[in-house]
Amino acid sequence: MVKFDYFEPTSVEEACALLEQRGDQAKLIAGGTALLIWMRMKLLNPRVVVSLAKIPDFDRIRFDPKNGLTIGAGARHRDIETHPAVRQHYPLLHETFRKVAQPRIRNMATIGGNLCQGDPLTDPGASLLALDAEALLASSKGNRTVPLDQFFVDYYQTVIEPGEILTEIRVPTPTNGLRWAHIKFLPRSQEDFATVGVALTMRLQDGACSDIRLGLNSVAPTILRAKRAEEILRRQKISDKLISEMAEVAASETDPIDDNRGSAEYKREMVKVLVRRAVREALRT
Amino acid sequence: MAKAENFSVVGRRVRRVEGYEKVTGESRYIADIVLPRMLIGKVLRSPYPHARILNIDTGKAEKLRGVRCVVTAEDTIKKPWGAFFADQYPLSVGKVRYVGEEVAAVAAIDRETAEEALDLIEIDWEELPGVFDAEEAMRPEAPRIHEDRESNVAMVIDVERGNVEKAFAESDIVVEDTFQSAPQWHCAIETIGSVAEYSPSGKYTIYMNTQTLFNARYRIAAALGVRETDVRIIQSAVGGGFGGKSCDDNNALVAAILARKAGKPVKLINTREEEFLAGSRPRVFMKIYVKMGFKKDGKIRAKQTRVIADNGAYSAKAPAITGVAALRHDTCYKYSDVKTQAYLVYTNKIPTGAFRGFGNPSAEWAVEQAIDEAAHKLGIDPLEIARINAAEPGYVSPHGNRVISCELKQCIDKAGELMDWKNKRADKKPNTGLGLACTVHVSGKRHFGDYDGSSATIKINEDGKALILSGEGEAGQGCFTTMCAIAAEELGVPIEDVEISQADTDLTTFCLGAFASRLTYISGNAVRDAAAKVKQQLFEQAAEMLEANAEDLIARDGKIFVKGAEQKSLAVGDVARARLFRNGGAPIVASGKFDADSVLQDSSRYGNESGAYNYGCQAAQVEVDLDTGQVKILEYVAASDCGTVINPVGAEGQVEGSVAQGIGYALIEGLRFDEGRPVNPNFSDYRIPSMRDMPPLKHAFADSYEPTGPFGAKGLGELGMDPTAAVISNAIFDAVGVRVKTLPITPEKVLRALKEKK
Repeated sequence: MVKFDYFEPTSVEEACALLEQRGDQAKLIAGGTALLIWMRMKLLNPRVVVSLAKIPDFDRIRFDPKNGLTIGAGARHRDIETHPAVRQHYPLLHETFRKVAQPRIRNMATIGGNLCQGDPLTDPGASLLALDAEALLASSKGNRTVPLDQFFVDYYQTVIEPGEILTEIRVPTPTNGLRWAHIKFLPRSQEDFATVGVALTMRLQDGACSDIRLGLNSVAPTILRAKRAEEILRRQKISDKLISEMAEVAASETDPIDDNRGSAEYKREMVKVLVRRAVREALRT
Repeated sequence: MAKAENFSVVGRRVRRVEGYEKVTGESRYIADIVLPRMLIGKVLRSPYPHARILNIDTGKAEKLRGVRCVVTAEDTIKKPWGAFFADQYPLSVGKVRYVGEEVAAVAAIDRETAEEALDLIEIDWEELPGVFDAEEAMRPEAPRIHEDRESNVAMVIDVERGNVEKAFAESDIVVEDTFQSAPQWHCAIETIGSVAEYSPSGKYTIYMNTQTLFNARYRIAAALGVRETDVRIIQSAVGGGFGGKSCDDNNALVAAILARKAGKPVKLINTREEEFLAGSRPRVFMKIYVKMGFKKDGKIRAKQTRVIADNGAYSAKAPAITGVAALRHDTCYKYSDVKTQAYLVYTNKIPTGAFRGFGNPSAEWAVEQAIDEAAHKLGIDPLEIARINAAEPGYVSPHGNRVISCELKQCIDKAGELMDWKNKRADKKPNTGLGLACTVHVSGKRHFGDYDGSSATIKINEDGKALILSGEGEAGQGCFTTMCAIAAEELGVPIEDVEISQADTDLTTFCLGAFASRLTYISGNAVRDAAAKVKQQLFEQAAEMLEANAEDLIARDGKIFVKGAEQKSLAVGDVARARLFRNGGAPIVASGKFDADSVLQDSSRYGNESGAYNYGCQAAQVEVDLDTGQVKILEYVAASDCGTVINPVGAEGQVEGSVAQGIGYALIEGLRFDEGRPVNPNFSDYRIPSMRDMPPLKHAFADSYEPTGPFGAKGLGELGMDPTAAVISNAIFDAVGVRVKTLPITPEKVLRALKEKK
């Protein structure tokens, strides 16, 4: 029999205490769309499962113009997709979450679970990177804030330390004139993971690119921010030549693998094509 | 075209007879079947593609608390079984030949215990070199997969009709090319499963989600070494078959062996991974070389093919499938000089087998591209070249297939109209293109027992409602509704007054089951015959009551009356009651029969293989992204000749589902192997098209009537996926001038072809 102890703490503090006591025998569960598959495949056999479902407001989404968007880690993909403030102020997030899997998954899977799993094939991380988001981590020892571009470490690995819980994701208020694009390249099926995912934000001032952030998924051991590619356009007047150069650099920052979605070579080639397209699309917004 | 009949049920949109149960979740699938004291079974599978079993120690597993029994080949009669060639065992005897093969099994009180017990079974293996490619396996020095065979070649077909060499010499152009098709899984929503119990009297009762009950019974009885009647198969609700549930796998056999040893019922259901590894037998993948000669006017003069088909480790239905790939398409177009050589070859991979379309999708993927190539070379519209060569009523193929009804030309014209082919072709946009392909399929195929028939019994209850007793079963395709509609039409009652029984080999008469698009035509004829006979019994009674002659009576809308005197009618229920309670207790029951006017192909593969042939033409407009290689289907059309459409809702569903599977076959599906090990046996890695991936689809049915079919109907179920891969490839060629010759046509391959073209 698959046996484990199951807890439903009613506060973050209580949850942290449980993790502290039970150490690496314990796993957190939120939507369960990732954990349960891994347990069924016997990749994980936790002795203790700690549910976050009973923590009040753990799924709360708040927006105020000064502090921006605060997403409780327990918020479902679908909650974020349909939240009025997200629709109004963060069209990139609305677009990204709309494209994740299909509604049955989006109605269960949480943003916290998504980010903590550290699966490079998933979409939200790249768009949150492009929006300069940060993650709030709580533990019995106190809280800390980690910029999302330092959050992902390796395949299925993040900076989260044993005993820590991701509680919130904070996304700054977008300034006026923020341009964006999101491309989820799905040559096989609309319900597939992205073969390549591109999330881009940029600002223009006097015809030059004043700020830019480029997030990529499915093309490296982690979701990544292509900082060297950003530098090609930053503070430059945008030209086709520079866009192509930027796309080449972005491809060089990736480290894709051969799999059923295509060869590494093809994916790198597609990063070039799709980054170029994303910049052009962002310029049109 | 004779279409004299005025139908009152046939051709009407009716609701699925088992629809309420399905949509409310009340249908009983295998997972829903629970018997008292039932145990759960689990199978230990080979981790190696080719290895000798030196020793199996089940001692520790047997001692695990909650385990009721462990079985190996020692619990079997070690006799091989198979649909055409007896070459596979229920549990491996001495050796395994593919990853996933059943080696041992456990029955325990629950799934977790059974899984734990599998880990305790100790096996000493001796790994053997494997061979994973059919052409390599044909070499004399290749590792031998079946020691009792002289080589890895399981079967050879070598047929020539007419004089191909002369015909090529007389051709104005000759095209030739080689195409590789891919393994494709059925991906039915329900995996294969069974619940077996064994009675001390020696009888096995097996609940199975099979689509071919009596064939399953025959094969299971042979492998268990008992008589057919010692095995009773009861069909559960079936969550999709598509050929994959036609009992070529060991699931039910292992459940039966466990149930006998445990003395308790055992449930055994494949996980999705098991289904990919060793459950439903995927489409036989083939390398097909095709050469065709044409006259300047587009007439086909000669056709030659060389087929190398991957059998996998055991044969299942691949021998017949390879035959279809080699020969069937010569019934689609008119020509007389044809040569084919086909080799079916064992490899250390999952056995391949029956999947919707049988050998047609592989063959048409190659041949319909060769024809398209010729059309482009000759400067003839591909739609015209199809029309010029299309089979017609009365055509006899070079292999002896005798075509009665055939509206292929009408299908081509309808597909052209639906696609707005002429205008779109005249106004071609950059990187968009049009493609089409044609297909022929059978309505039943004579092989098992030199028989391609059916039988059905209809009983009229005292309230006048009819019950069809049929062993054909319902595999999810809607044939129950079709059977009820045919019976209702013949009996002159509303379809709501006809029910159909669960298929059960003990309670229903012999039926072959669902394959070869046979049920509407074959079983439909048997049901109609039974209905006509039982109606005669009602008429005899009604004649007495109406003081009229039985010959003057007709039945309509549940009433029986003298022709022309409808106002003085009797309700069928009243007639039934009167009949049942007189006549010394005789039931109102009759059995109907049908056997198609076809023959078993002779040793040279000559002979009319089916009673009727169904035809179709499909077309697509695609757009190719030059930077990514991605192919977008802008529009898809399918025109089908299935004779009279009995139930339009069901027919449309068949076409839509077929096209979806065809698109998957064309663009995305295919299991990848690494040294015989499947690398993507799950739905995360093996994708199939979802609802959102479907292009706008239009379809049409030809105005057609098959005189030998029930109310003019013939088969449809497989027709719709036969040509789809070729249609899409032809459209890509028209769009950007490249052909990807291996399935699936991934964007990466398209992009590579585009680069090579530059």
